[in-house]
Amino acid sequence: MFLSKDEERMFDGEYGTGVEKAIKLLVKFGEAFNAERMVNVTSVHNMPLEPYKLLLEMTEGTKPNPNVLTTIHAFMSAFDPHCWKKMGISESFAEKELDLFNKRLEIYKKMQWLQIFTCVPFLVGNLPKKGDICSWIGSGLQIFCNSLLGARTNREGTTSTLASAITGKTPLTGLLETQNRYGEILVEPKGLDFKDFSNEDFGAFGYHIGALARNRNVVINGMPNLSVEQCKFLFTPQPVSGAVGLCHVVGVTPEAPTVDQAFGDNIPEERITVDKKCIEEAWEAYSTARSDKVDLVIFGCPHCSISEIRNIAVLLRNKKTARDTRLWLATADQIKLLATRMGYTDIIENAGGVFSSSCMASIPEAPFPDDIEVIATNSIKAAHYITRLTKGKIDVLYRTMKDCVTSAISGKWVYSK
Amino acid sequence: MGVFKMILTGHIINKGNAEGYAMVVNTPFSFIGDFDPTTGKLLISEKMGEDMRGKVLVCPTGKGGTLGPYIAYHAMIRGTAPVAIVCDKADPILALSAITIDIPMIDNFDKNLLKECCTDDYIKVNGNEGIVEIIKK
Repeated sequence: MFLSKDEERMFDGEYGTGVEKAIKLLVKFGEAFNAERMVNVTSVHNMPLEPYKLLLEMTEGTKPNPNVLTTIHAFMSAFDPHCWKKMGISESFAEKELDLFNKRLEIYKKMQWLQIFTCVPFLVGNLPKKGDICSWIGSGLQIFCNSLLGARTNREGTTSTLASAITGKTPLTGLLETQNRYGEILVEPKGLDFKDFSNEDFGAFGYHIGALARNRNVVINGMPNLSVEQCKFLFTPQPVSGAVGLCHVVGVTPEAPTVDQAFGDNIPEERITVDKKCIEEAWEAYSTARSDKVDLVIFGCPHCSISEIRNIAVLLRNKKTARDTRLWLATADQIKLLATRMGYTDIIENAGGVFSSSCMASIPEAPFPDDIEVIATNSIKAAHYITRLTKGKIDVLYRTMKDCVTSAISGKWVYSK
Repeated sequence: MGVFKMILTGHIINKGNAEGYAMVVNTPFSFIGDFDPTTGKLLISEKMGEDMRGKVLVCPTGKGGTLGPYIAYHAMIRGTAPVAIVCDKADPILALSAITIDIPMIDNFDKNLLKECCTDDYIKVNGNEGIVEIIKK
């Protein structure tokens, strides 16, 4: 792999052992995928779950990189160091996490990595534009970055984004290269009335096509003009049921003004039709539970936008959640500040809800309070992961936002779908 | 009782030498969800509870979970990680997992890996030359 003079200096340890370790990891990664050279990244998003020894080694003697904007992802395992008690998470789990959390914060500060603690960095200051080279963690973020922003990130792992934050480099390969960004499969809705589509119907659509697409680039033709929220619901499940890194929506996303432009020189290797039955099947995957009660309602996987919070607040005004039913709503602190100014925070907290900026899919440790047996959520990603991570201990229901609010108030689940 | 050996040549993902018994997983593998780093046991239905510690992981490819490399790192610290990975086609997350804990990894073989290799075959992985030796008893 060709290295520039500056990259060679990094490799030879002239910038310290941390930078040396980071660039060596990226060189190995690049060579494994036949990258010919490195490129500069301008935007990095890192996961706050670093093994401390590794984080120390990589930042040893390392100066903040002024050319890269680095932000930090949501708190993992649904554990928010500021509100875990209110969420009912156990002391023993908290003790294990808190010490490490505080040690990591020191390093984030030293490295000038922005502590936004959210999975929607593009809503709070890390907004790359079309063509920008990024190294982002989080499968839902990667597909959003590539598809809606038209910025470029590979399906990175936690150590490569960390190494990119330190070096400002990433190997030129995969989705960073124009020829690898064209569509591979064509998805066409058939007989669907998008006027009646809820955000969660878009979630079901994404979950259905992700499994069929696997790791191939998707082109969807025949969608209406989607909002940012609708795109979030449509994209997020595709790397959950599958491993999709890029989904062009013709007429909506920046690299897909037309079907022909979305495919470039590629010929679609498969055509998939999505009808009402496909959507219903996706809903069916998380449609029933062992009892009729709901112990916990979850919003914010990915974290809620201000519009979503407003819609939830409107439904919860002057209402209370049922005595034995918890309500968690996850968003970025910066968005919560806005919600507070608008009075939405009061409405939701007075109803009994708890704001958190942690990962509502609870990846990887799922430390739910012991009294939780049934969860309702409007995120099919959260339904998928919580079901698996709790290994049958918890049933998760996929419901519309309205049904989730109704369940939070009554304590019983409803299915108006 | 004869011993049968077979040599496969592939593409190097990460260098190094290691050997051990094979743990064959027939579905795309992820360190998050398919594996418990505390115990080293597999969490996938076909191999539920089987121990990966010190084995050579043999699989078609990787999948999902961008957190994979950190889980692999925890496994290395606890001594529960596999000693090498060989697969049909590396995905970035699985490759980074091997690179992060610096175990040899090879993909893209000249023969059908999953057809030739069974769980409990003994495997010598030469990651410096991209060669795998499968020893059957």
